[in-house]
Amino acid sequence: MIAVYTLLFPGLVFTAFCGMIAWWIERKLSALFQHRVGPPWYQNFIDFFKLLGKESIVPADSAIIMYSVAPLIAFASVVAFATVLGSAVFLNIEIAGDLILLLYLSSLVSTGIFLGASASANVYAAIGASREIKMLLADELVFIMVVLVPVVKSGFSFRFGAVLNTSAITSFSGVMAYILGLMCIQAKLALQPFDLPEAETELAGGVEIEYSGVLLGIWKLTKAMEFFIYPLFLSVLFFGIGKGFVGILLNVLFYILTLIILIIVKNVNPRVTIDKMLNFFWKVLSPLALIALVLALFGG
Amino acid sequence: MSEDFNLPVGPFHPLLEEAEYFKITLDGEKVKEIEMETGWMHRAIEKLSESNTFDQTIFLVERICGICSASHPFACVNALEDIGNVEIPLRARYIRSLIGEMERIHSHLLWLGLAGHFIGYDTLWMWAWKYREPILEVIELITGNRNHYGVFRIGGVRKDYDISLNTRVNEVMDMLEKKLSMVAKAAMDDPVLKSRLCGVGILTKEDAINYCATGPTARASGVAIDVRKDEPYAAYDLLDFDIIVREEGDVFAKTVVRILEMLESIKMVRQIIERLRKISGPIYNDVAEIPAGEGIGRHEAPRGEVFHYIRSDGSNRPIRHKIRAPSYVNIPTYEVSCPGMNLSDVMITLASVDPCYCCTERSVKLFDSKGTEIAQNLLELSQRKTDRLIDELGESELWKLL
Repeated sequence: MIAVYTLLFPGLVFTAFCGMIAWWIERKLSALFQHRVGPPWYQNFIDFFKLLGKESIVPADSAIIMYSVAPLIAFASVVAFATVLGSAVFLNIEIAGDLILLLYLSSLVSTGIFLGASASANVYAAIGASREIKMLLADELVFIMVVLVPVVKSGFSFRFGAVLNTSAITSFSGVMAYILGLMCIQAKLALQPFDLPEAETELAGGVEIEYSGVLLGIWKLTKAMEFFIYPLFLSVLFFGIGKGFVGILLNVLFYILTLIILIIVKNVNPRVTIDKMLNFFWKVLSPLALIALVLALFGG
Repeated sequence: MSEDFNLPVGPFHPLLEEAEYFKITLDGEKVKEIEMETGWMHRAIEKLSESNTFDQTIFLVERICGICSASHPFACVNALEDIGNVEIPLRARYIRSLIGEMERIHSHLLWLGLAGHFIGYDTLWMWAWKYREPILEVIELITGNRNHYGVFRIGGVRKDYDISLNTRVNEVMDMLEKKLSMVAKAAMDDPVLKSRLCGVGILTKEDAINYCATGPTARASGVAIDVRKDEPYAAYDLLDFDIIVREEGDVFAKTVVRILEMLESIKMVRQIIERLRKISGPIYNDVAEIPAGEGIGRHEAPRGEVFHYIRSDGSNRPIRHKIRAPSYVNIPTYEVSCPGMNLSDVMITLASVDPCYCCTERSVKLFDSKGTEIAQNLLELSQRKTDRLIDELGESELWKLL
């Protein structure tokens, strides 16, 4: 059964499909924001399948093994994340301490990106890698404190099932943590204003610059899956899982709302510089997250 | 990352629309030094010009740049008329200014969009270019082309302005004025945008003067130079407009200068089409020949002052044609405005002077290691290299490499 969970539902295939669609929503909505037409719904799928048929060029100077393994590390982490999260959300199956596992897996994705970029032997990728790891250091602290708020609300339980049964968004600290969480997700998905590791006009794609063919396809698939699981994680963390048809409908709507907020923020902001981003997360968001956590502890 | 390393920006990079090479020395993400290398877009226009007749030269220099395609012929006809002391009819002077100002609007909108793209603000990019489209459409109605208008000739203009277009031009100007005010307000109130642009890439007034910066680059640093006011040509002495000057010298000031200049240009276009209604007469004076002598022509292009020098020996071809584009003096200001800043800030600073590389690159000389000139003919050089490779590898191997 574990193989089915991992590969089919709610793991690889299901998440990949939903992720491609979520990514398409992002591309289509951004296009509408910008008075463009935007791609058809299957664009991400054909992009991905086209990449599978292309040659993967490995740069001669790169650390070849790490260069090839890094995308797989990130990809495996995302699949594991999707399976654990999806099992808890859709199938009601829990693992002990799954919330901690999810936090760990989410930072492992960034580590994979960092490793792949550093192994590319390219200056653009090197700067992208350094930015990726700086961003991880910046957003991880806030993200953990944000996740702790629903944990506190559910009675100090690190089981995902218990968190899913409480709706943290109804309290003030919950709303505050949710907004902070959105910014962390924005950074984790590398969307504007935090698309620093890729920064097309500065680093020409940064971390992915040397990748091509199948390996690039794996990066794209990883990114697509992240588009599905991170907003899903945030929305179920704060909204919980509804009961009955109406409850599930509300869940879907809340997920789409989360996604749309991310897309709107992406489209109305320019890219920030790395020092401003670090300042913002460490000096502004971290104290706010701490305040939200303290408020939650006192029942606010 | 305490060790310095070099980040090549270019010759081909998403930041640059054209080929150009910047070598940036980085310490972490801090830029220590920047070196520029030009010559990637060289097309030998000056040399070509010497083999063309005066009438052909005007069309040739129009091809120097796709964006400021009125600026070079404008300066070129100014230079030719300077040699022959040619008088231009009033109507032609107004039409010339009209084209010049229309071009300034669409060029600044293009820059605004690109600047948005360079700082990752793609929405601004698409919006600015959407508003640029009606301007190009109006230019097409007036001249017949979206770019490369081909309206300039010695002694006047080639194509008359049709008064019945006034309604459409006014409509577009109204629309643009509204949208520009909206963009200006959005840009000036946005805290993220402000934090990206304010205090970034500062060019002080002294440096602007030392580097001979021109156009919006100089005016954003508090140097009030504008050929349109300083040495009026065409109809600029008859028009009412202001020079926009800001003191800060950062990228934000350059943005503001360009946005406000567009509003000034809109004002001028309105005045011109209103006056063209009353002025009738020929649109050109016939010029039989250009006498021997030399002349200079200046024009305030969207990016700064374009300078053309032409020498004639009384024949129908220039014997020397020297062109100095505004980016040629604006690009070296990077040397003082870039070091010490964050890499992301340098990228927008590189775009802030609105560099136009194919305008800049007029001539290149190749020297070998001993300092002797190798060849002036790049085609010949390329053929020689191909021949050498065929000798070394054999033709079939070479094809495989390609």
